[in-house]
Amino acid sequence: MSLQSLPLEVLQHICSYLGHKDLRVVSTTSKECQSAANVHLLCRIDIKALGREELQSDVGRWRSILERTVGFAYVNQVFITAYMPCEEDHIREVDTAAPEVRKGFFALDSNKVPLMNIDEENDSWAPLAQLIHQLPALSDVHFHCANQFPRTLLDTLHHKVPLCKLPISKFHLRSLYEPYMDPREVALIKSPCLNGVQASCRRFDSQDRVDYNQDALYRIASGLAPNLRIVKSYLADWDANRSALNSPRLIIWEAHIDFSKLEILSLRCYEEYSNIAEWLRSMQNYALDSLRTLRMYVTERSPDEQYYQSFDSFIRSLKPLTCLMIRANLRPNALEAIVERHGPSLRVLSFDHFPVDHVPDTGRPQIELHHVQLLQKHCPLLADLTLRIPRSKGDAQEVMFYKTLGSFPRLQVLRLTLDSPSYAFVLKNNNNSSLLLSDVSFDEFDRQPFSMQGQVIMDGLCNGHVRDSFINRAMDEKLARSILEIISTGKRNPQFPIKHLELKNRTPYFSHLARDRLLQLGHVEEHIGESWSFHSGSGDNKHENFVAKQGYHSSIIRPPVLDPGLDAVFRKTWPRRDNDTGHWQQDWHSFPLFTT
Amino acid sequence: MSETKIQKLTLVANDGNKIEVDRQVAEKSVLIKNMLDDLGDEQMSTEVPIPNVNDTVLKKVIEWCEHHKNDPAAPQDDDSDSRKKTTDIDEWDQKFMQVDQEMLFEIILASNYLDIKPLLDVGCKTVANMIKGKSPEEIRKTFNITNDFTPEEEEQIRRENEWAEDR
Repeated sequence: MSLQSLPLEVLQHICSYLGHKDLRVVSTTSKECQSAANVHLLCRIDIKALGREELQSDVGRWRSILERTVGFAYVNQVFITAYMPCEEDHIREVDTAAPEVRKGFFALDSNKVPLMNIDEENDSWAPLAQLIHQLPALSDVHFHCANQFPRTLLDTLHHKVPLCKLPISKFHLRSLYEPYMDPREVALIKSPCLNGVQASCRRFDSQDRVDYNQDALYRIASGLAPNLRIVKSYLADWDANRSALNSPRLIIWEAHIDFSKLEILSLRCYEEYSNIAEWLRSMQNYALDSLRTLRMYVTERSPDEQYYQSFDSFIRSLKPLTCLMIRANLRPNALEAIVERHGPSLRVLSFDHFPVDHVPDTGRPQIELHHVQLLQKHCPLLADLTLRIPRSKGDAQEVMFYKTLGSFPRLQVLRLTLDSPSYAFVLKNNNNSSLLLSDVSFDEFDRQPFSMQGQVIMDGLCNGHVRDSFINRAMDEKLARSILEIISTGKRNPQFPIKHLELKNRTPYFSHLARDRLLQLGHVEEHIGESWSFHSGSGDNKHENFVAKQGYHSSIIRPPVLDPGLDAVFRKTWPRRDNDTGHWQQDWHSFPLFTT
Repeated sequence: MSETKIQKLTLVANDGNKIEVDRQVAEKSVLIKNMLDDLGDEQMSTEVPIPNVNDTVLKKVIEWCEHHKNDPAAPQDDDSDSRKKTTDIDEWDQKFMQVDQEMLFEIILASNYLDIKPLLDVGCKTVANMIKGKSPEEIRKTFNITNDFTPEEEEQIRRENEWAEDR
């Protein structure tokens, strides 16, 4: 009895648990294993081509693989990323393009690419149409090209696989100005295959004519395309009229589609729109009866009581959601409304109540332990959580946060932004109280004003504040692992172990005035604030078995020698030792968490 | 004619050994459950021959069914998100699967034949975890797989894989 004596269907089942990398390895071990792996490997094929010749060779290559493996029937999905130039000159330009220029062609905007004449279009795409003709199990064609979706492919889909779904990104109609629309575009927008469109709409096109694509989108969504399920529309030149993104536009949408059937809604609203509070209130008037997923990105620079309240009542007006992702200036108390209304049904929650890091932060309330406890108590199904957690130098209070996060019954994916208070925040708080909170632990050095280049940097900012900030920001693998350990040992249910943990520091912020002088301080803070992510590597869920990955580290060249004032604080925090390298970049470490 | 449902069944392995089990336990096997449903209790003799499975393996499979007899029926995949399959195995099952390869494959075959989907899943996950991260040569060695490719074929597959990976 061996692996090879298992029936093919069982081998395929085993392969269904493997990722592409492992599948490719398996496919080279033996013929039997190869055919088991191919079912999964060939389920999706990616076509990527610039110009006709490349398309022909790309398609040819896939065809030879599919012929050799008798795999035509395995293909469910085809992803097409391509650009077909139309004029002779342009073709030459594309053929000889340097790698950077090639990228530019793939990123071309669809409003820059006119319709080809029909013969040219057919010629360009013929090889792909022939391939698709041979794929009986095709269920999805994803089209990501600046060209219009070609008629020849549409006809092939209608003829061979009429139930196939066709999502098109870069959707754009080109013949809206003609007295009669191009029949190819008419056929496309009426196609029963067309299942998703993503379009960036403008008020004016490149020739300063009014752009009708947004209006066309309303019409298409309201029933021209019978099976359209996903519409993503962006206003590309948002300078032109930002307010077009807000409720008036939703009112138009509501006139065209049935909001009560919407399952997923993503909204973006920028602060320039005069009254977000009003907009939020108007949102309550829509009967979003089927809504399960809501994504919201709202930036309100000067939130007031009215804004907070309308946010709460909007959240309470919704039917219970399973997925809620919010980036908006909010008070952590907003979690109460969220939990009350959606707690029992929530599986995914992302709550970023301070979405813009590069804005001065003077009075931002931080998440407190009782907020996390509230989530823990009322969200029994929560599996995926993104949150900002305040750091307090690894003290018992901070450790309680991690312990509480570990006690969520079903939580498996966790992304934390570790939030150390900014200097502006610290100073503001200190000004309010005569006895400086952190000062109790400050020694004489700590109480001296922090200076660089011999100058005091900010009124009231002492060495001790900078040192506290270093201690809060210093994150290396050791600290990241001990946070992981606390969270994963809290898990009581072995069926739902932590599988993914991301830890990142918030980006340091300095106001414009101080930025130049504080550049070095920023470099140090960025350098010691590493990001770490952990992914459980094997089926075994012991925390030692997590694969750690260090996140993005800015490539700014760090100054080799620090300003004396800054160096003093740095060395006070991490004293020189005999085995030190003498480079500050290597001479730091994190500080341990408080454990009993 | 008795209206009472049969509560005990005797499973007969292919080497003639008989094992008595609760009906609830035996019905973890969709094959047996369907057979009972189709035949009806009155026509069903309480001895059920399992011709494809030997005594040792059958005992092992029954041990698994006993332990999992109160598990809720597997939920139908409603979320498309859950399509991404995990290879997590609960602790008891991990221990249960700590057997030699011969036995592991026998269990997989038996669960496939008896149509016990959750046990098949656990078995396949166990094998998948043994494959993960290994090189082709290590996989061949682990599972005693004979390389039946010619060097040219092997080279061609390697090239194709590399190409497909670059997409």
